Amino acid sequence: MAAYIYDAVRTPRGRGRPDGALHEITALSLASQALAAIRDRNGLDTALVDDVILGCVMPVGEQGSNIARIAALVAGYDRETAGVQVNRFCASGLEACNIAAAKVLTGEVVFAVGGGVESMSRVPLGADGGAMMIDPAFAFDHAYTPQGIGADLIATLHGYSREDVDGYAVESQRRAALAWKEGRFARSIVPVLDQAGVVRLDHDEHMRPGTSLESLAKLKPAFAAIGEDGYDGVALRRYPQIDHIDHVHHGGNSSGIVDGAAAVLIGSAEAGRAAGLRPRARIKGMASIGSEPTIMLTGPALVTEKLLKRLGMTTGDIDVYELNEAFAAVVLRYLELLELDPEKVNINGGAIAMGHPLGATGAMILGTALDELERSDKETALINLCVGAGMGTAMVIERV
Amino acid sequence: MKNFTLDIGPDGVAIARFDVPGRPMNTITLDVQNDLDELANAVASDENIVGLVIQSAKSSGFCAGADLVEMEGAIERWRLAHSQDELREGVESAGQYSQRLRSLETVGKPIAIILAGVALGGGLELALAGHYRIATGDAAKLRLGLPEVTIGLMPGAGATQRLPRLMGLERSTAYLTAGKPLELEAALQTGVVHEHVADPDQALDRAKHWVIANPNAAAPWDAKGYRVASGPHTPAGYAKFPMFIAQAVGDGPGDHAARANILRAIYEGAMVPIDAGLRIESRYFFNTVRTKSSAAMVRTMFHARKALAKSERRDPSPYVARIRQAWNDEIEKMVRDGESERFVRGVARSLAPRLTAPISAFDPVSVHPTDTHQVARITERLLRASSQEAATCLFDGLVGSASEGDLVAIEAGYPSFTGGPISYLESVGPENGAPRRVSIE
Repeated sequence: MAAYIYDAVRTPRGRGRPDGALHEITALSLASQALAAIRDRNGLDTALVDDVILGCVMPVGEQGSNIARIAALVAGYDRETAGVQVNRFCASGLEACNIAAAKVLTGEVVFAVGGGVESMSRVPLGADGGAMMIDPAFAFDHAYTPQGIGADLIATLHGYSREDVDGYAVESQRRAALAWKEGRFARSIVPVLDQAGVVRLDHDEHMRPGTSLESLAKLKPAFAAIGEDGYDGVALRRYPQIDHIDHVHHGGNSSGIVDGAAAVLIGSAEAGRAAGLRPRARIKGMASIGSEPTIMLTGPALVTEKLLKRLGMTTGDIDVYELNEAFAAVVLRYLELLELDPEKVNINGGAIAMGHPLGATGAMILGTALDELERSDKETALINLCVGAGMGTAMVIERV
Repeated sequence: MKNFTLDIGPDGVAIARFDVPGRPMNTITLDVQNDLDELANAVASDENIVGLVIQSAKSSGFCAGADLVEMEGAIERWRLAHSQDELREGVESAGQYSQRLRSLETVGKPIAIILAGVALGGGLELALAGHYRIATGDAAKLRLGLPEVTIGLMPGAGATQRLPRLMGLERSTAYLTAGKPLELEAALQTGVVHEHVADPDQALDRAKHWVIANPNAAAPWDAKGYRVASGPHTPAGYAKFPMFIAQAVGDGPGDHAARANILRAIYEGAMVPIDAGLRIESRYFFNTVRTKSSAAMVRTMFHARKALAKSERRDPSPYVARIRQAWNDEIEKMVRDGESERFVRGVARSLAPRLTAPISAFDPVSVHPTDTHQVARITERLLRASSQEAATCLFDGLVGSASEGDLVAIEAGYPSFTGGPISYLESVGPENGAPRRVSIE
């Protein structure tokens, strides 16, 4: 048994603010539009879709109580298609696809849709509460710090200067702008329609083409204040080898706050034959891992090593890497630790330029990697994200 | 009752005068606790009593807190608790004072407390279980606070529950986790003290009037539908409480059990009704006193300090100089042994910034990520080397006693969670103890 990707779609990403284009569109509408799109363009009989698995990181309010099942019904899926919402923080969208693949591999489903949704303009960061930052059983004993502090800690420990991280951000913007100009996302993007059916957004709204080192230099560090209020002290307790934190991250070199949704159709070979669909890629394997939670963002290299080892592969076997650009230092550290060619990593930019709609991003960058393999006629891609509380989640795909 | 005299006036107001016999200062002994039971029963059952005023008969003040000497035996028993029955019995007895205060608070008649001079720890907790608090006498001599954490303990009779409910999470936390003295002004603003009446006779009159005027008085948290305002899982809680945790972590070595347990009791207690909160607090109090660190800290920061206050101390400088020397020698030794200098110095500075020689220049190259075992190993070597030197100093007569050696070192910046270098050495035992006999078959 093998699991195949038949198709992948995503909405454009709207600025996650009240003046963002998608602020007047509900999270349910975003999710159901993505689900409808993947069905319609594949002429799929949804009676063959046993489950819809959607990542959502703030599953409260309008995104709460299992948005996956509700979105499937609203999209007009067959009544028998089940739905489940998952939360692996920033990797939720990829985790949804990993679960979909696992369900195919066990024979539980014929087809499953993996994906995710997040309307960050409508359900803000932190809306879901949780124990991590506030219950002393974790926050005290495990020295919790927010991700921005972890990113600055990575930069401090490994000597990445403000110019280094800003330089990475400038390159992300350049690559994303070029990719849009050349239409490299055309196959994945499905425009978001408003309540009357008028196209509301057909491009990624967060990008700032023409971003330069000079323009970024004007931005103030975003995490210096909370560092001073107490979190630097926590980080230094945990990492006594340094005596201060260099606060180098800001809005311009961290992932953007945006709205969006994505859907990926995953199924067995037999399922594809029954539906008359040709697979675009085979899922070679999936993995997740935990690492030191205070620094929080060092999971990607570890999960990459874990997964490649299990698959009997090396980093040289991967043609295309997608690592979510949560913060510039996360990618810089990944490149350094795994000694990767930067030209193979985030070839078409990433979340610094285009934004990171938390629950959807993993499924979006899976689609981006797939499109890039086809565009550049390469074989193998590794998709991975750093995850809250120190985790990492990854998938390896190869074209068929 | 041996510790309270009870007078019932013609107006039906009972006046309990707190006066532990033969002591200059009131403390909460087991005997006092039994009397509080009797007091609650008398107030509840005597129909002539309309309410109660508690005040101290001592000029030293209201009450200095728990009797730690008397508690030692109980703590020793709690520390050994292991079976389910022993744990259950231990938590119950650790929470006994708290339960007695709760019985007083819910006695069904108004209770006013008159505070003067010292009202600390368990003494302030007694006052918090009353419904109305009047401070009297010279405001400058008033000493209110919960200093338990500074000697490795935590409040165990309601302060982690009642103070956040009175003052809010944001204002109360520092008084509990840092043992910060509670100024009269802040106490008045937040309902910890309701009014200040300088003249003691007038204060008593005010208290009696209040009791008569408020026959149905009850604690705010016993009102129907009461919820903690701005609890942890509210926007205000999210904005502040994580920062308190961060500051507590940043302030000192993470194995300071009391501070962590106080935060736990505040956090968990604020989300449940008061009775559940009090039970949660008792469990964390029990956990705290059972730790090695708490025992060592109480011994040095409370008992030794008290004993040494009365005796002559030797000049601390030569002793402190030798500890500091041993501490920094060990840093260099570890560097010679191949440990990363940056790492070793960082751990040393994190443990005892005042003892650690300043770092001249950090090597700029990146270093390996933190390995918790490595931190533990470096910590152990630093503590062991310095504590062995402390023991030698004791032998050489630089300090008069082990407790003096402990206290002087902590005052000079030695990590307080150890209870001092000599306590540390006693707790870990000598290095390379008697060689084990190995038999080869």
